[in-house]
Amino acid sequence: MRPLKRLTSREASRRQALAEGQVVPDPVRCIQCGICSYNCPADIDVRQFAWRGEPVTDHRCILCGECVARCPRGTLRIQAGVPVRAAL
Amino acid sequence: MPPRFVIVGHGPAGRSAAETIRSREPGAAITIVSAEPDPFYSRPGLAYLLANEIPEKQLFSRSEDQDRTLGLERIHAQAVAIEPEAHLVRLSDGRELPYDALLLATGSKAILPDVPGNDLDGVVTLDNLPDTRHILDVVRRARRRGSQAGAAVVVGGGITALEVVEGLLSRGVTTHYLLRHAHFWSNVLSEQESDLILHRLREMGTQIHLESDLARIDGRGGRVTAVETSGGETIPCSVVGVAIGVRPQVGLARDAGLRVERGVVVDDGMRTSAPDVFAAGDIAQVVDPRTGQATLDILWPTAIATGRVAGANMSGGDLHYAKAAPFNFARLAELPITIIGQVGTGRADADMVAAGRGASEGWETNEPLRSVVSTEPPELQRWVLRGNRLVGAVLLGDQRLAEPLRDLIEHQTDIGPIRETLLAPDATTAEAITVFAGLSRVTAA
Repeated sequence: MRPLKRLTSREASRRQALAEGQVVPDPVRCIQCGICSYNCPADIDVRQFAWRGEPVTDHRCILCGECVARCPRGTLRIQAGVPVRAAL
Repeated sequence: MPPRFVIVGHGPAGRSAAETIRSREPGAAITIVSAEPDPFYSRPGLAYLLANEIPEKQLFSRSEDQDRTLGLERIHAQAVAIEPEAHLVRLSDGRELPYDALLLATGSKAILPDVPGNDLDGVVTLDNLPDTRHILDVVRRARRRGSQAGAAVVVGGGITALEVVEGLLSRGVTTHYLLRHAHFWSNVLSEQESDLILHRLREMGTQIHLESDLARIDGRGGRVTAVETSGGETIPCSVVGVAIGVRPQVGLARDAGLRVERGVVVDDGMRTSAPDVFAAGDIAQVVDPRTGQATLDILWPTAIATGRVAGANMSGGDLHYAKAAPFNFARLAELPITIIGQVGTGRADADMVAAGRGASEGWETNEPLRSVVSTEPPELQRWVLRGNRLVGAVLLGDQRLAEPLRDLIEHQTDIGPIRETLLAPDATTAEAITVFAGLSRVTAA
């Protein structure tokens, strides 16, 4: 595979994975401190999802990972989606 | 007439009960009585407010609008008595609240040290939001008066003591930490784990005084000016942070004639000995089916879980609380730590007079269990085995094994196939645990 094609193929896969990925909480770890919501650049109230134990389904989520990194209790992780097409 | 539910206490247990009741009983009258004026907030989050990681308003996870939508009536008052026969709660403002079902979720309260000067302004705990505001206020006032007076002395153990130490450090306060013996949290952590944390605390700038105890607190004009230690040392300071343990607030239940031991005795439906009276959270003493022992958990997830069971059963449900292996995750000296199941060292903790916040009595054990330690500085991992079962684990630093270990401990999985690998930890151990936990989950499903 030529370098350019390889690059675009990898980027397409990454985007697809991100598009299908979600931030998912482990509610047992969440103490509702709100650090996740405070640091979300898209102003999503992430902790409400964590309280309910639901993935962050807000369409504004860009999977930047800020909430995951800031959570002091390790509550959040990004669950990447499985790319439907591995390459273009 | 719609059913009337009264909840005393607005912590995680009270809150989860209220929301559970509302989801089952759209028309019910739900009243939450709280001695604190603030709406529901994250008590563990106080550490992050103290450390200046979030502003105060961020602690409130529910808006006034949400409370209105849920139709929750909040009353700021102290519940002074309950009358189980009459199905009535008496409040400090003279009001009487009749109920069809009552939840006691009064939480626990920090204990003060029994030394002269313990009532001076500047002696602080990290129990609630007013306490945290008070600490920040004392620090601000002290800073205005000069740097020497701005110092703080912290006594106690467990998670809360370090939250106070780290919070004060991050506010630029010179912080002294007194420990009665040579180790930190000695009933839960091994000496090696304690040494790692104390080493990091020193590196962060904490002045640690080992084998040193609080003898008296000196003051002038009602305010703290210094601490005198058992070794005769005088440490000038304006703040004395205390985290020597908490006591469940069981007075209401005891006065009403409910069955009370160290906590309020409840069955697995969170029912107390009085009809239509339930208890949840820190005060609920419930039997752990794993050990047959009734233990107290001062843990946030336990409070939520017991609150949900209580809320469901108050509104006609039949849920049973299955006590899980006690679990908590925290940051100690900026190092993540997970504690699961029975991990106790069998030693006593000289710095605590009762269980601390974020701790479970279920961690402690007097059984001679086999512990295995895997070291890769600055990280420590310890797992505890009883025969072919993992019963506990402590992960300090790297957290990748937290979930697989929790799975294996929670499900009491027979770890026979990887037992030898666990007993001789090396580079392949982590992989073995992860793979085995994954396989067990698939098999169980």
